[in-house]
Amino acid sequence: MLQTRNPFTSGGWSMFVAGALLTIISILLVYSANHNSPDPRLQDDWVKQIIWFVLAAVVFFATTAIPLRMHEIFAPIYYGIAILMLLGLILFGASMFGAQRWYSLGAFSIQPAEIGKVAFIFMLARYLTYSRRPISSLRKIAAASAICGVITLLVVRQPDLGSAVIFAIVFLVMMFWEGMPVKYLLLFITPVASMIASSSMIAWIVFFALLIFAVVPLIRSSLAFTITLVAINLAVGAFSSIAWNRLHDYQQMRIKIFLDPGQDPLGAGYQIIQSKVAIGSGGLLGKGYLAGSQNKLDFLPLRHTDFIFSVAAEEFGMLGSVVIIALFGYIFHRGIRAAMKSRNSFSALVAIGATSALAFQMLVNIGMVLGLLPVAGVPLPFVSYGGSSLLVSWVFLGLVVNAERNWQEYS
Amino acid sequence: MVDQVPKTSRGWILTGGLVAAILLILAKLIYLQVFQYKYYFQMSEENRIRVLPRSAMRGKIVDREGRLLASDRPAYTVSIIPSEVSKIDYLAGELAPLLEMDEKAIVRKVADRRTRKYEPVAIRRDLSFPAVCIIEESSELFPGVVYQLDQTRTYYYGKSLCHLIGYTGEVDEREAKDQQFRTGSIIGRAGVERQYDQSLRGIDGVDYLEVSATGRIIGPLEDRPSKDPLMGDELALTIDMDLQMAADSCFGDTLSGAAIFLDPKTGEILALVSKPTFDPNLFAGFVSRSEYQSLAGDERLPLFDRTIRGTYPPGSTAKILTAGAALEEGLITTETHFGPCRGGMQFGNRFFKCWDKRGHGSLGLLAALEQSCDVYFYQLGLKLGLEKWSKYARACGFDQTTGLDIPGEKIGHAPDEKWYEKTYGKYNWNKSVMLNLGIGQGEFLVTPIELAQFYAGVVNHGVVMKPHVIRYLRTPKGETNYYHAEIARGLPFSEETLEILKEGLYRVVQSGTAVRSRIPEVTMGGKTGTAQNPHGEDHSWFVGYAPALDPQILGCVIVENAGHGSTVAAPFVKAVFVKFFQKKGIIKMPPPPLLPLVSAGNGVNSAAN
Ligand SMILES: [Zn+2]
Repeated sequence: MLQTRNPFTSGGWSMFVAGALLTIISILLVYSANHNSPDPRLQDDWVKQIIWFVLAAVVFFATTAIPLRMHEIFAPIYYGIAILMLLGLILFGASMFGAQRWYSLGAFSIQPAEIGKVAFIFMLARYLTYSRRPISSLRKIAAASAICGVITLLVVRQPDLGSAVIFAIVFLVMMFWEGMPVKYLLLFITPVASMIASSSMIAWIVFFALLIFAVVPLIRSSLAFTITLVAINLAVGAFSSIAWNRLHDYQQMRIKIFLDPGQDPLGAGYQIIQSKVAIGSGGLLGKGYLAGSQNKLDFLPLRHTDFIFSVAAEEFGMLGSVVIIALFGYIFHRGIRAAMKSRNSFSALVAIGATSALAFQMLVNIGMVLGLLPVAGVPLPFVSYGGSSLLVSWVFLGLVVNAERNWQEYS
Repeated sequence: MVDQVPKTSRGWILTGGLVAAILLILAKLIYLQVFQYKYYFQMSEENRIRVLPRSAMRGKIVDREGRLLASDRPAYTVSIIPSEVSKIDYLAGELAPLLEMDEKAIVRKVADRRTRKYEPVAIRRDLSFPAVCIIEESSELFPGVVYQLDQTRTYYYGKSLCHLIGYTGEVDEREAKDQQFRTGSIIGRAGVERQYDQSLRGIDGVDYLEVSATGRIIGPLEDRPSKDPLMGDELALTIDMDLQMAADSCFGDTLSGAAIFLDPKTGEILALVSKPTFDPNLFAGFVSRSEYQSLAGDERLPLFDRTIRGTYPPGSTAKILTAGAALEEGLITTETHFGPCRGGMQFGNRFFKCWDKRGHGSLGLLAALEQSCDVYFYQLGLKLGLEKWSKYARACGFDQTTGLDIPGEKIGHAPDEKWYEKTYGKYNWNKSVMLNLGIGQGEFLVTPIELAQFYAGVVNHGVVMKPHVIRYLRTPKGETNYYHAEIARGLPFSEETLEILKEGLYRVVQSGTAVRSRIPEVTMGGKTGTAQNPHGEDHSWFVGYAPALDPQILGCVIVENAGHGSTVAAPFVKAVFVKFFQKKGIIKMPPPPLLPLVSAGNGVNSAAN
């Protein structure tokens, strides 16, 4: 088959359109959300978002053009830079909302956590591709976990719980993709369940009953592994109360309010309630562009960033919401297809990593604004206001297109 | 052992997981946007709408000649929206000097609001314009503080009408719940303000404003027009301010008591005074705790409305009740004479004194009334007996309220045998109680308004009218509803009996105990009385009416701790009557000076009771 550097072959064009539609929706929504803001600094956000879009388009084409092989080589450097930037944040970062997430560059700001997502995917993909050990090797799993662990811990340190969750999920998906045995996945997933269940004694007992009498017989693993699994779960459950106390007050509050938003309708639960009011009141066709009262009248907090989907659902209704979800669905479909098609392990891992990063950010964000998940501070890719998030979303899109286009390349 | 899943299957597993997650999101979207659409739409409407009530102007109150007694005037009210204040202690500290209020009072007012925290709580009414300007200019310093032009009640005759007109106050949360009023709205608390609150209060209007989450007002709501407030009805009273002022000034600042002047034919109250007084304007604006406590704790009880709530022994004014009952029962005629008065009489082992220790000798009924001889009435009371006396006292209305249209009226006390038995035990009291009851002492207690109503019935052919202060209510459109006089009851006395009683009352003023209160131009009847007061100087009573043959005005006055009725109370009645007949043109203007009236112990100690 004829190889070409034109990104518009082999579906590159339709992926660009899907991303561009989402970004245009983003600009419209940011304008709607902020053009009347009492804070004049926010009124021009939509213009900034246009500038970021232009930049993002350039980055997209560059990403599709640069051979993935290059990234494979430079992955450790990317990863090192990301780690340094995250470390630097702890020292120099601008503090907002009790969290250090930004590097301020005049009117713009950079979020190292977003850049970290790209670097992490490259680094993990490179390690998994280069390491000759079988994926079932505990040493390989441990090393891969370290790659994920270092960057995740630095993100947690900010603290940015939402991004940390995305790192963990992308890690698990990539490991799963690489063929890590299901029992090892359990090693990562069950402690999380143990931690959640430990909030109530009864839940914890039920959890352990399930673990020992259902999960352990099912995986039919060695005694050593079984003991390790149970021991880890016991330890995590026992220490989760200590971990709970180490969470910031606002993080504790978010989890509490997630469990019962009515607890504090004017405080932390306010965001979720107002978001649901915005979405629900949008109905089937929405209140019309620039006519969302929840949006217009400041009832939606962070409505141009984390809660931008609520603005869409209020002004464009179910129709608009479904269009946005469908555009994402298309991108995800193409991402997974690219990974499945690719003969190159590295590109397949990059494609699956990029796709899962986009997919889980989208799921966590929309799940949050719908009140299905805790308020985690995860932006909606392409749509939420913010240059770093937009650029990285487009980079992911470019990587998927690149992987898909070069599916025949062997590593 | 579960091992690696084939690569294609891994792709499909991920796709399946994603599809499941997206379906879950879509399900939640459908639930919110389709099934709960109405609920959330309603919520978003309420979110953006602030209902700002606009107080209706309270109806004005005028006297019978149209003189303005009370009305609303524009004033600034400063309110706090509790939901928008995070540090109330700090805010209160900043506001207190500006509002001339106690910090704690501000905090308490805000804390008292437990529900509807997004609606303003009025903190200070009637704030000065400069203070409002300061709040306006530094609004950033006072988050959640709003001011509004509304009204403050003003009483133009303040103290002289305080008990009659009463005052207004704010509806608190409990009342708002029970009575469906808006918290913080103005309600009549006492007097006619309370009695006619329904008509006076009007209907509040409302502004629908579109607001942001931070409370920033965007502007009026386009699809819901404001509703203008509807002013309350004008209330015209039967009070004649000239007479009211005349009666009020009689008491000066030192005397306590009550004065009631009414038209016995209709029951219209012409003047209603309770002394001492307070300034109702204090309640209309902002009453500080210390001010209120000094009023409530005042030993002279300025807040206490003596005209309808003060109960006193009627003293000798009750003698016509005894006389009327005895005449009606046929126990005496005007010719009947009792044992002679020798400055008192022996009954059992006790000597019961007559007020005049020189004695009156043996008298007939008219002379006994004229001289108010106690010995005559001791014997008449004994002859009448408790059973019949209490029957007549109750038939005359002494066991019920008069129906005056001012809230809070008390009932006096007309005891009967049952009451004595219950109170003292079956054998621990005896007939001698009738000696006291017959002359209006002992356990017999009346309110001034009860006594006034009784006498009005006596001089109105036995027809007892319901006393009232309302003349008419006039809606803002000008529809006027006049109050129609109502008959309360009939006295249990025949026309003959009443003629005899009136003859007696006429003689009291003509040549008896009240002779010095006679008005040359107008014939007058009346009865003096002295209410024995175990706690101090006796109370001075006088009930009078004029003209004697066709009464147009009846006055009932009690002056506390002032001694004999003839010396203090009777001249008060006379002073008001003079004013009344001057206005009628019967007494020529300019009048002789009404003052000075009485200063205690001015040498009329020998005056008759
Ligand atoms: Zn005598």
